[in-house]
Amino acid sequence: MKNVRSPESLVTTRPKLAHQQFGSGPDVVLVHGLAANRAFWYPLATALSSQYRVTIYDLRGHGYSERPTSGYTATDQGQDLLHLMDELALEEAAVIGHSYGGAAALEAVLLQPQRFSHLALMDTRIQRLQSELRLHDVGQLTAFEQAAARQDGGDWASEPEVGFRFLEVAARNKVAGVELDAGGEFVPFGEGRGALRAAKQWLGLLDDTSLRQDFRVPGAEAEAYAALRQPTLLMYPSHSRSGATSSRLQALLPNSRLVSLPQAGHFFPVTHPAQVRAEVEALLRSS
Amino acid sequence: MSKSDIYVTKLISLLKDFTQDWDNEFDGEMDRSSKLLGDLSFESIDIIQLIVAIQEDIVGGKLPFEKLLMKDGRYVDDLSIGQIADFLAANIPG
Repeated sequence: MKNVRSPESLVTTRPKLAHQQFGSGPDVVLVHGLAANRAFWYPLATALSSQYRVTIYDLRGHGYSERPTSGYTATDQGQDLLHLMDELALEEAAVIGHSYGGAAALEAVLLQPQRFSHLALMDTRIQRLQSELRLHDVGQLTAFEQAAARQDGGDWASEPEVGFRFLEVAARNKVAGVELDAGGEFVPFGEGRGALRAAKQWLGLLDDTSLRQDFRVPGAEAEAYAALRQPTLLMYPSHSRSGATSSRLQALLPNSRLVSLPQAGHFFPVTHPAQVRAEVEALLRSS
Repeated sequence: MSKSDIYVTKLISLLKDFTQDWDNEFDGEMDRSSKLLGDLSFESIDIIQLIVAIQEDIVGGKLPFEKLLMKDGRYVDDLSIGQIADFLAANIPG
């Protein structure tokens, strides 16, 4: 494994994905969201490792995984997960995904349901169920988003993917040396001086790969969800911007349970680790 | 030279290699007190990747690094080279 973030991959074969395993027992795989990396899940991975073998990995183009120029749809990334499971000889695993990582996890489960014992989606928006996130869907902007929108000054009202755009504005500000007031909340690219490299890595993905287009490509048809029998945890903040997704998933997935987390933001696995661990452990005990 | 000091030397050698391709502002000499986030521009993902490298190149196996990295379910604020060396000295037999 090279110690270089996102080495360019010019080959068309599946990229090498940086990964780690902890503990022993039934398999659990944790999938991070866009502009994050496997460090997002390290605290939960180590907490679960006393009872489970936990695998964390970097999505293609993220962290220390290779960065091909294409293949960033949720379906592509679901296939990446299945290939990683093949490589690591994981016959069956529980899979837990945050944000876009949940979309990738869901596609993997739909592709090969027999390989997944449990599924958890954490504040995941599914393009098939909720194809846009416009400003009027968002409700209240965070202090950081308000600062980002003010600083950017662009036409946010016609933007179909405001969350995605906030990520881009945050990264471009970081690279330009513009510090925005985050009001103490967890923000992308907010982690010290090293975050400059994370911001550049994200902009590289936006500027040099098909991720921006691929992100909007829907996965499997919603009719397929009814066939999934895995115990499924849907964990969403009470004011989630993906509320339309969570209610539809609850209706479509026959063995799902919705947990609403009050006073939490999108990055609640970082800010509310004890609640997340408790819910995940309850899920993994269920059958 | 103490066992911990020997690991400091090994860690500095590993860190120079690890960060050689980074566009790093740090232009001083690394020593026991150098901090990964504060001085060397690490992020959490870099620390985790560094641990993989330490386990491969120095330890030759796994150690419970989470005891060093985590406190009450969250990441510690920063880590110095000396703290990692002390951890290695305490956890590697011999």
